[in-house]
Amino acid sequence: MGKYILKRTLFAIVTLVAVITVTFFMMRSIPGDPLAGMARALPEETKQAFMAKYGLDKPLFEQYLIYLKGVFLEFDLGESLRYAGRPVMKTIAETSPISGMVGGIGLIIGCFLGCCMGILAALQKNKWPDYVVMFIAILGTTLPSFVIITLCQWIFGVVLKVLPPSGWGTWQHMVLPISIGAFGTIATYARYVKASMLDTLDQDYVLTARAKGLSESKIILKHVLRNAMTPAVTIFASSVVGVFTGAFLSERMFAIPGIGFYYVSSINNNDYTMVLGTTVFYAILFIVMQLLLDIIYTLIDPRVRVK
Amino acid sequence: MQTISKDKFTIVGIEDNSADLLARPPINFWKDAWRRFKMNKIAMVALVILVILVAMCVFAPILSSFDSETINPSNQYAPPSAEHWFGTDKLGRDEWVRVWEGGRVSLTIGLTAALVSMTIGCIYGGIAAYCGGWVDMIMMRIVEVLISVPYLIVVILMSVVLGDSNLGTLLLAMTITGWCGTARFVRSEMLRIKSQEFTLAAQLLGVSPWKIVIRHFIPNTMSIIIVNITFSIPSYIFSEAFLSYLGLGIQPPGTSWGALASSAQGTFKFYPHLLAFPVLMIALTMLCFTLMGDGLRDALDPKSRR
Repeated sequence: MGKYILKRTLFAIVTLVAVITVTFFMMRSIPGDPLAGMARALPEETKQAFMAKYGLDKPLFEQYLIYLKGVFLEFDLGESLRYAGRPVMKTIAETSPISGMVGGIGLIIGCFLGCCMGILAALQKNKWPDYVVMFIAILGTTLPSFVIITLCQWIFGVVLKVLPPSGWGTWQHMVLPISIGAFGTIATYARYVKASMLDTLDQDYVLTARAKGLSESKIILKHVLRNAMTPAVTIFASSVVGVFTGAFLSERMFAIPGIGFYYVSSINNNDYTMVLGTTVFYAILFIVMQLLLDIIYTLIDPRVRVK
Repeated sequence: MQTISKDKFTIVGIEDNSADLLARPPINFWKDAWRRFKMNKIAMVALVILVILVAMCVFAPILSSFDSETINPSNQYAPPSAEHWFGTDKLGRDEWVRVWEGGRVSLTIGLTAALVSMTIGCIYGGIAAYCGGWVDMIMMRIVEVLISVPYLIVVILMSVVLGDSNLGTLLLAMTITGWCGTARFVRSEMLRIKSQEFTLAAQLLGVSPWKIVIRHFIPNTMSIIIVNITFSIPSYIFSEAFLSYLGLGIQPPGTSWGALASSAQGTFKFYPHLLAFPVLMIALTMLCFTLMGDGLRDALDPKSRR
């Protein structure tokens, strides 16, 4: 077990270096210099001073080594090109808790409700609860999220006037983003858990349990649920990152000062260090989540450990 | 010597050769799957709607008397009428034509991206599974590295790096890591096939590795690949809509359903028809592909036969 964790961790670090390398050289290969978007005619000295300040005058490979050193030894992701004196790390540290809170609450509610609905739909297959759940799931997966957000802002913010359509500050502002985030998660999990439940109910060991006369509730609780829920763990890593990437749209539309909001605006501003830094942050988050889930998975599913 | 008279050897009735005749035409796997798919009413309706949508995208702009790029300042934001069936947009362009032209782009992106990533994934996964050993290990490690960057981030980064967004760059951005998931599941499916006897037989007969992959591995994984394509088409259409909203999608004057919807959502309170039609098309396409995918999965899965 310890060896497995060590192996996975080492591989995660290698992956991380590869991701940083690729992203770094990709961002540097964008034609045009980062100053082009800000001012048209700068004196040559100013340009050079700017380049020197951000270390852009050094050879590319040296820049890369400096960046790598910054990431791993000093947890430094550089400084925003657009807003002087604002380190990328600071922006991430300030904004990601906001995204994490909005998205996290939505994710927890969504996962819980989604799993419950999926189980319900599987147990009541082809009865009305199944149809209701599948209707919700289909609604959540067929409408683009910006349309759902627009409609909700209009219904709750303009017509009913019960919630502020956008903004940030009070708990009322959080209700809509959290609900919509949860809604998307519900749709994904309900479908996934239902399929997984139906698959498990079809297994021979459930037939055996029935044949030996176990009560239905015991079969479901003891034999089906645990086996059906383990696959749901595997999609949890992408759900967590989905919290942050899904925030690209919702934070922009609700004007929430989260990390997705800044990521999108830094793309539009050609703020390359910010884009690079945030991408690296997302990659770290995703890799660490996957590592953790891999370990959790081996704990809850003994079959994986045997290999 | 006793002789047995010949008449003792006549056949007394079971001369009916029709015992060997086939009562019904022989049915292979694909015909059977099609037969079972046809019995699934919902999936058939979805298929018909999709065919209609594709036909509309192909023919509606040709048949319409309007042009998607001709602006008409005197007729902005017109509601749907007998002349302009879907109304007109903020430049007075006919929405009916624009919706179907946008559909061309959206469907092209969905279909092409799904096919491209599926092809690359199949070949990659097939080679990894066939070679095995360290080749397999290195190839799968590469995939794991690529997969560990969130998909949307890759697409956004690629669109930023590639600069101006046209159909080609969008497709490249979406498929550059889109094939990884396919490669993974194709590989695991092929590993299963590799351990079966007919592969051994082919190897013994000296069939080249390339041919084994093409002739034996891929046809045997075809059913799950088809199901996967059906489910990935709508997700690519969705990604394109998402990119359009961020301003990284198809650039004007070109358009797509995502671009139409995102440009209309700002004014939707006053001109709901501009948002409603493209969104209806996206939703309908997503729904139909999902339902058809469900139907295909049931039809192609031998396990669901009981």
